[in-house]
Amino acid sequence: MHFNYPPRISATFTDILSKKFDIVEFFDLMTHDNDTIFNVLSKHDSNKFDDNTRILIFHDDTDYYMPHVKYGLKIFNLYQVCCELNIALNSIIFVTNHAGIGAEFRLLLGDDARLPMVIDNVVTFNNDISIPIENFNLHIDTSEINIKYNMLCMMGKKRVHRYALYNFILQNNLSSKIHTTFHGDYQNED
Amino acid sequence: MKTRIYTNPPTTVNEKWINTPLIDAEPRILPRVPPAFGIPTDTLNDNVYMHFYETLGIGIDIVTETVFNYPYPYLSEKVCWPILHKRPFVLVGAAHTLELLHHKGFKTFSPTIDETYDTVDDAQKRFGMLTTEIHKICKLSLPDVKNVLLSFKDVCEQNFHTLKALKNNELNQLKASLNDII
Repeated sequence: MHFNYPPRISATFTDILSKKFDIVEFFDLMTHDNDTIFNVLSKHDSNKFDDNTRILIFHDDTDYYMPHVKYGLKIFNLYQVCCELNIALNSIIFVTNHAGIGAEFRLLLGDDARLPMVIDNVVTFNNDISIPIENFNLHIDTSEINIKYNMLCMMGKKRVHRYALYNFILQNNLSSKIHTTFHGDYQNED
Repeated sequence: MKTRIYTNPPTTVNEKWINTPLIDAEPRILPRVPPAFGIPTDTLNDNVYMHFYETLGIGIDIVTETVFNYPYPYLSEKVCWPILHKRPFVLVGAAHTLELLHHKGFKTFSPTIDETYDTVDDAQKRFGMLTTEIHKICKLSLPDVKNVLLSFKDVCEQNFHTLKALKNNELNQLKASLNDII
């Protein structure tokens, strides 16, 4: 099946998986909330899937972890939706940059269950990383750099660790040493 | 009917981890940098331009990753910028993220920069170790910073090429692992 993959996801990765499996559905957890996932998956009946049929899910966004709970809400809600729609979890290919996230599925399903196929050792399926890299041919001669600041600190979206770091820089009068920017909610910086 | 859990307000990050008074920072919009060094303008996004602009005249980068108190090492495009610009960096991110970079073939900057912070799971303790290291670097004179930069010239060059080859390496690994399955 042909999909219009979102530009965020590398088509090269999806093509490799599509050649191996019959991908009947594809989505990116970053752009799909619980209700959207439910609507997308409700079109499918995994009882009618053959051995090679798969649903492809990409996950490189962050997840919300409640205190003392070892699985994130996205994984929990995905599991709940699949149970609700009777979608077999082992019909899912889960591609993520979260190395070791398969343990969350094992916690929810149990070790003996038929688990999703988790590919958790890739980071470049996200075009934000791979596109600039492939086209970058800048030749920088380190010895010719005229240093003006000890350090650079570019911060995008408001996050607690960035606030904490910003506090640290201000409280220790390091802004003359650390060239600092904080974009807050500017554009899509995160 | 199965129960799903929704956060209110909707968020994908649990950030209630550190007792630091928050400071509202004024968003600052940087000017676009004109094309330079033959960089093809149609293939690079604004981030690259911004970072290129900010990196001129900079010794060591502080990368503030998307998450800090997180159960998984997390790499995003943010760590690519100092590698592309051939700069050493300190990584303000989840524990074991440097370890993941090593696993991907990158080299980092120990012992000049004490990177034991990467092994510490406790977020507050790790943050304290990071700020100690940043403070130490800030005490260096500019010529000393330049010397640090020069001492890592080969490492930065190697990291640059590792990054450029990363996607192909991962694609080859993916193909190999799929061949093993069936």
